Amino acid sequence: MVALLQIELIKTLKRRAFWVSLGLFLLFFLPIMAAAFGRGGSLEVNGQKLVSIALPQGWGLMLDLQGLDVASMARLFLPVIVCIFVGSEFVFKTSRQNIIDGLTREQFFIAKMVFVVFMAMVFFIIYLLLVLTFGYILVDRSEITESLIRGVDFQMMGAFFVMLIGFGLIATLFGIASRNTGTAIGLFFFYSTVIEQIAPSLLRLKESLRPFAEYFNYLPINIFREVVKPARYDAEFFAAKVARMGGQPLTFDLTTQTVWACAALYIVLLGGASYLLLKKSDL
Amino acid sequence: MSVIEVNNLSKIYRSPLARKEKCAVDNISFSVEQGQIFGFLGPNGSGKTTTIGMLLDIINRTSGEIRLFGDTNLNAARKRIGATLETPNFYPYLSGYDNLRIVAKIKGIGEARVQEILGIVKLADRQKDAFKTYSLGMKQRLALASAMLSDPDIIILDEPANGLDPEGIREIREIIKGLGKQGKTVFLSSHLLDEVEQTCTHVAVIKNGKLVKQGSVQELTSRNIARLEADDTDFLRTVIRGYSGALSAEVRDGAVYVALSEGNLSELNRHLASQGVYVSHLSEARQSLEEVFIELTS
Repeated sequence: MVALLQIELIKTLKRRAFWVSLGLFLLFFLPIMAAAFGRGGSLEVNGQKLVSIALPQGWGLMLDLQGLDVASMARLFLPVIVCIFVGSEFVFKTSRQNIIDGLTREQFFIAKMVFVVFMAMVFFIIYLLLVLTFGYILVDRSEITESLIRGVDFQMMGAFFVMLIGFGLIATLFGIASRNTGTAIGLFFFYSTVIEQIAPSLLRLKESLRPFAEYFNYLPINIFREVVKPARYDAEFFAAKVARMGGQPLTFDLTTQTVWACAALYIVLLGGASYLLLKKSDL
Repeated sequence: MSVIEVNNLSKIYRSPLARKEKCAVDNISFSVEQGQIFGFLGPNGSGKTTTIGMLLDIINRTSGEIRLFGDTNLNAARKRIGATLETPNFYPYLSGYDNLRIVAKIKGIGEARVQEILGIVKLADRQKDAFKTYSLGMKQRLALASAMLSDPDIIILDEPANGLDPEGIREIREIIKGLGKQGKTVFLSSHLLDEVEQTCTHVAVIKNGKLVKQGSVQELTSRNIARLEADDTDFLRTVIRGYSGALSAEVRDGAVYVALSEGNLSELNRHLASQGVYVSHLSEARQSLEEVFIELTS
C-alpha cells in the first residue's frame, strides 16, 4: 500500500496538469472569497451585514455559498483532475505497462483508489485552510462567540469528504470506461448536467411524467450533492440565514439517513463497477 | 526445464453489438526452455502481440493454459519477468529516471539499481530529461532498461528494434546476445528476420492465429534440400523424380534443387550413379530464415 501511494505521488506531483488545476482552482476562488469576506469576515450589502463566515459557522458556510463555495468548486475541479489522471493511464498505455511490470489488476485498482483518496484529501486540506484563513485569521475576533468547532461541524466535514470521494469515484469509472481523458471529462459533464439535472427538470414540465422526476433524486451526483448540504446538520443557523436573505424555508426531499445510506451504497457500487471493468477488459 | 508453457491457448474477440467474433489466437501450444533465445514470428495481425499479451496477463484468454516457471499463478511469476510490449509505454512528462523509479517500486527494487541500469543502456546523461524529449532509439533503450531492471529470469521483447537505425539495432542485438550468454531466457518478437536468425536459438512461426512451425533455427533452415548440377539438367531432374527419397525437384538458376525426406546426400548420389548420372556439383542447400518464413506464411 505504501509503495502504491509512493507511485501515485510520483505520477501526480510531477505532473504540471495537477499544479495548474489546483492553481486555477485557487486563482478562481481566492479573489471571490477575499472580496466577500476579506474585510472582517462578514458579507455586507448596502451596509447591512448579511452573513458572517466567522467560526464555527464558517465550516458550513464554506460549503454552501450559492455555488461559489468550496464544495461547488471541488465538484467541478476534482472530477476533471481524476479524469485526466485515470484516463491518461490508458492513453499512455501505462496501465498495461504497470501490470506487465508486476502489479496485479487488483493492485492497479487499489492504486487508483489511493489516488482518489489523495485528491479528496488535497481538496479537504484546501477547505480547512480556507476556513481557517477567512473564518478565523482574517475575521474580527468579536464575531466569534461560540467554540471554534462543534459536533455538527465534524458531521459537515465528514459529509464533504464523502462527497469528494463520491465525485472522484464517478470520474474514475468514466476514466476507466472511456480510456481517454477528453472523453471521460465529456461523459462526466454530460452525465452530471444533462442526465441528472436537465432531464428531471424536463420531466417535471409534464404532469404525467412528474412522478418519474423524483427518482432522479436518488442518482449518484444528486445524492453526493445532497449529502454535503450544511443545512442538514446545522438547520437552525441556515434557516435563519435563508430567512435573513428573504428565501424560501429549507426543505429536503430525502432524509439525511437516506442520503447517507445511498451515498455509502454508491461508493461501494462505483468502486465495484470500476474494479470489474478493469478486471474483465483487455488492457 | 520449460519456463514458458502454453497449452491450447485461444483468444476470441467478441463484438456483441455487431454480433461478430474474431479468433485472434487459435488453440496454440508451444514451450520455451530455460536459456533459449526464442523468436516468435508472424506477419502483421497474426496474433503475436495478443499471445504475448496473454502471457503477461494484460489480455484475458478465452481458453487454454499458461504456465510460467511451471506455475499457473501468473501474478507471482510476472515478478520474475521483464517485458515491453509494442511501443515503449512510459509517462511522457516524467524523466527516464522517474519512470524507472516507478518500475523499481512495483518490483520492490532499490533505486541504486536504477542508476546502474541507466548506465548500462547509455542513458545516464539524459536521465533527468522528460521521456517525451527522447529519440525513438532512446525510448527503446529505456524500455530495455525497464525490462532488465530486476535482473529477471525471462525477458519478453516485442519488436525491440522498431524504428532503430543500424547502430541501434546492433546495440540491441549485442544486449540480447549478452543476456543469452548470462543464461537468461529471451522471448523475442520481431519482423527483422535477419536479426532473429543471428540472435535466436529457437523460433515459432504463427499465421492467422495458428502455430505453423516451431523448432530450432538450425532445424528450420536446414530443411534437407540438396543442390545438384550436371550437364543435362532436365535428365537429372527426371532421374531424381524416380528416387523414392525425393519429395520434389525443381530447376532453378541452372541447378536442380531437391527436397529430401531424409538428408542423406551420399544415398542420393549412389542412386544417381546407378542410373548413369554423374553430377558436377552436389551440396546441402540452407534456406535463410526469411525464405522459410515466407514459405510458411505466404
